[in-house]
Amino acid sequence: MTPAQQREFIYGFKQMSHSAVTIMTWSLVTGIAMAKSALTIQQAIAMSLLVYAGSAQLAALPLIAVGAPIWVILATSFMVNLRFVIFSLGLQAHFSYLSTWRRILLGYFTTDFSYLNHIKRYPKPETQKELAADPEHLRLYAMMGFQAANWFYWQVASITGILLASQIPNDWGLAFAGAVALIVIIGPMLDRASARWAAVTAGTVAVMTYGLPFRLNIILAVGTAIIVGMILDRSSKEGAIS
Amino acid sequence: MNDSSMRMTYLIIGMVAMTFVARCFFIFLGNRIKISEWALETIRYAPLAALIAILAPEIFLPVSASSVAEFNLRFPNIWGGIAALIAFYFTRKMIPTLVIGMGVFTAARFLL
Repeated sequence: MTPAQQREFIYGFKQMSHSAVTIMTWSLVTGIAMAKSALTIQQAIAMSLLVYAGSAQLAALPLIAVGAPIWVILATSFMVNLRFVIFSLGLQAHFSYLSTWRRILLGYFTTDFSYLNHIKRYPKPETQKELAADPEHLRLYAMMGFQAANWFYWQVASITGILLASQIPNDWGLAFAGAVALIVIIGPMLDRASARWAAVTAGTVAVMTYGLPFRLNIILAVGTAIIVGMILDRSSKEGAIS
Repeated sequence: MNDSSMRMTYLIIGMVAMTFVARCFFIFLGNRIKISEWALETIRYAPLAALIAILAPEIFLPVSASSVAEFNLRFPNIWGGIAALIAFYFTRKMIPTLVIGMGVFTAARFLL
């Protein structure tokens, strides 16, 4: 890494560290849930390190417990992960200049938090001109910093949860602490009316359709929120012209 | 390896594949598809909506709930969630939000 790349990587790592409490509460909860499920400690650690998708892991546990067929569990994993399909569209647009292998690696490590941080900093992909002026690909290194920190905090707390699960009682309300910690991440994103309406829509749809199989409520919520955000942005733009 | 640990090994490999398929979906398609500015603009709220979609049921529905029919106001998460939202609105900081949210949540668990 060149000094400038290093600086961006460290920036990314530090920036993601602001979300460390939230990441670690969720992964601690995920780790504990895995350890208290039918998985052995080794299987739980392997799942944490390799699958690296908390919501898919949590959705899989009750299915594993009832002995659901593998294809049902995998279909559920994919459905829970559908939001990442949308993120991958953004990633592809932002990093199309990288080789396929590097993009795949980048995609694998892109979680909710790292995508969010990247998009917040750079809403648009680099233009040809900006790309030519940035031979060191500094945006990529900031992204790698987000991802490295996200992976590190997630795995540390997840594996801690797996190993210490028997010592942590169920009634601490840790899962709820994870929810509260997420509020702090979401709050600053609600900085304009269209975002707030998109959020209210997503929340309502996710709760109303919670009973659907495969955690389909997540992608339904994302879909409707996108539509609401689009309509509101369009009408506010028209309003500005007239 | 016995049958059940074989099964779990296949499952973990399969789930790793699902992580790759989802997170790299459009990356696999590569430059064959042109992603328009409009498409990027429309998915702007996707990360926000995804986090909310994961969060909202945690606050408004019991852990074991299978549908929205199980919503009721005796559920402590709702009160803790509202308290945390108010605390965040005024302080914009993690620690007070966590302390107040968890405090009200715990109180509601004993009182309701």
